[in-house]
Amino acid sequence: MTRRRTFLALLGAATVASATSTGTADETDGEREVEPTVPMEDLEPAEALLAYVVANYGDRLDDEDREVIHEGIEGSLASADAFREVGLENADEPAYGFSAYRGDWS
Amino acid sequence: MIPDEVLVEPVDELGRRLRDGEFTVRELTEAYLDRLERVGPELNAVVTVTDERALAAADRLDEELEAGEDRGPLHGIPYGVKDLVATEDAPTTWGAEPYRDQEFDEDAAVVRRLDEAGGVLLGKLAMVELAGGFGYDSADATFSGPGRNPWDVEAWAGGSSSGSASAVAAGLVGFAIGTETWGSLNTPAAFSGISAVRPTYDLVSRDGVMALSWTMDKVGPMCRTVGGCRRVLEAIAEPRPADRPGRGPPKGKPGAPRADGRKNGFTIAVPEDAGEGEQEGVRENFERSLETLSEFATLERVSLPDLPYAAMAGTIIDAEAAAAFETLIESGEVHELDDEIHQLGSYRASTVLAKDYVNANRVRTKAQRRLDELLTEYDALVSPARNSVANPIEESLAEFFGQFETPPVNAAANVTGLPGVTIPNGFGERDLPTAVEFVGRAWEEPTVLALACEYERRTEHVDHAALVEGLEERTMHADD
Repeated sequence: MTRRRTFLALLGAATVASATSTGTADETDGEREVEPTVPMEDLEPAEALLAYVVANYGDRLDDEDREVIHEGIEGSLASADAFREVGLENADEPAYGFSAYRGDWS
Repeated sequence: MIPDEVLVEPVDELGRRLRDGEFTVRELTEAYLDRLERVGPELNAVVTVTDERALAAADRLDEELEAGEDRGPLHGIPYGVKDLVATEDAPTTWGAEPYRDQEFDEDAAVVRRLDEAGGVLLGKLAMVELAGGFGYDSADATFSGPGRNPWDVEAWAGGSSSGSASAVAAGLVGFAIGTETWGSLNTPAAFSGISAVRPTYDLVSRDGVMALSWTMDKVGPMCRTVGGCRRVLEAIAEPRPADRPGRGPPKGKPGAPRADGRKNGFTIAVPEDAGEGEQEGVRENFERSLETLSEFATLERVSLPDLPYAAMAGTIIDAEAAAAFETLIESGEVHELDDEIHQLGSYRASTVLAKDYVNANRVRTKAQRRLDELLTEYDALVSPARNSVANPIEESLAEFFGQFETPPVNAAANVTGLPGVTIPNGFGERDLPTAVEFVGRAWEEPTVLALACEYERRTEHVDHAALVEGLEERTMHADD
């Protein structure tokens, strides 16, 4: 069973990722201080998608912002579950189409 | 100066007075410009007034009338456009701080069509920033200030076409153009006591109109009467081939016998759950509307196909809006938007998985077919336009509207591109307007409009002249 991780744990994963790449982690007595990490296989889907947001835009977002975004992502994923419950088959096409283009026929 | 009470008359009545010589196009335009200046700021309804363009057009249209040239019902009628409709000689701000100085080189297609029809562009009307596409929680989600309701300035005018709605209700314009991705015509029309038409998807060109969600955005008229909406829609709709739906007379006529044996000229579907979860005033007015409709139509209770309409709409809008505004998000300028929830919603929208967007559109195909199958038997479906009256302007939208169940009809109609006509049907809590919405099959605007016009003929729920009389006193209170 996957344990639910807190945002601080998730923040830890992102912090370690940035520390590793930039070498800017805090140092104590010459040793690098490493935040606890969250193994990727333990991340719930919403947390994984939040990690994407944090990795790209984390410098603009405080903890409260991340909570709000996480909640929104959970809602998006719940919507996706609702589509699966409808029962889509291979033949069910999306409500938009692609067509070949030919300039002298347009 | 033309009295304010004249400025709230329907489009056809303004046109009649023009042709009878009671006033000129210039005089009518000057009167609206004056009222926009006096009352517009109190409602936060206006972004930019295009007075030079308006007066030049007015003079030209007066000369045409004198020469016997008449462009039709909209000749000389002044109007405003939601500020996401491009105009060549005024900024197009999208209601959003990052775009306050944005300019375009040419008019949107809808403005070009209205110019051809003889309309007089008065200016750009206020709106919720970026049409609220990422989700917002405040009436103040715009740089122009919260859209105030002319019936009570401490209530919201609705959004995202806030300024278009309040300007029409308060007689600041002859009519207005708004847009709807999900609710942005129907909501402000319902809250502000006016009529609006959400046309079938792509019946009105989106060329020159801000894209929030390419497959969900629609451009439509907002007027004090359904009759006015019909006039404007005739002018702005793209021509349809003669052999396609939407051409020709409406299917039903009041009182006419039907080949299928039903008693009255129209047959209207009423969702089984309509009347549940609403404010009491909304429910009472809806029941009364059904009584009026039963005078000239057969009503039948139906079940909407059980599909996740809101989930579809949300996923599709998120994915398309995240793409449409990717530059805004990447640059960080999204944090210049006024509403924090709106800012953060852009990040949520950026995480929609491609397969989930595709699946939303696959379910959308099912929704289109099942709804069309249902509506084949009816001239329209009717439901309350909103389940409550407008919220107090300072109150969180989520907290206020979360008290009421949202009817699925608006989500269903928007995600499937179906037309809708919103029309006032009385007043509810806090003496604020309520409304019904008629939804029809794709391109069946003639039938839905005929039905709505018949309903309008039998009811007189909104006295816009009384609103004008009381407005100045109410707006003075807003300054206290």
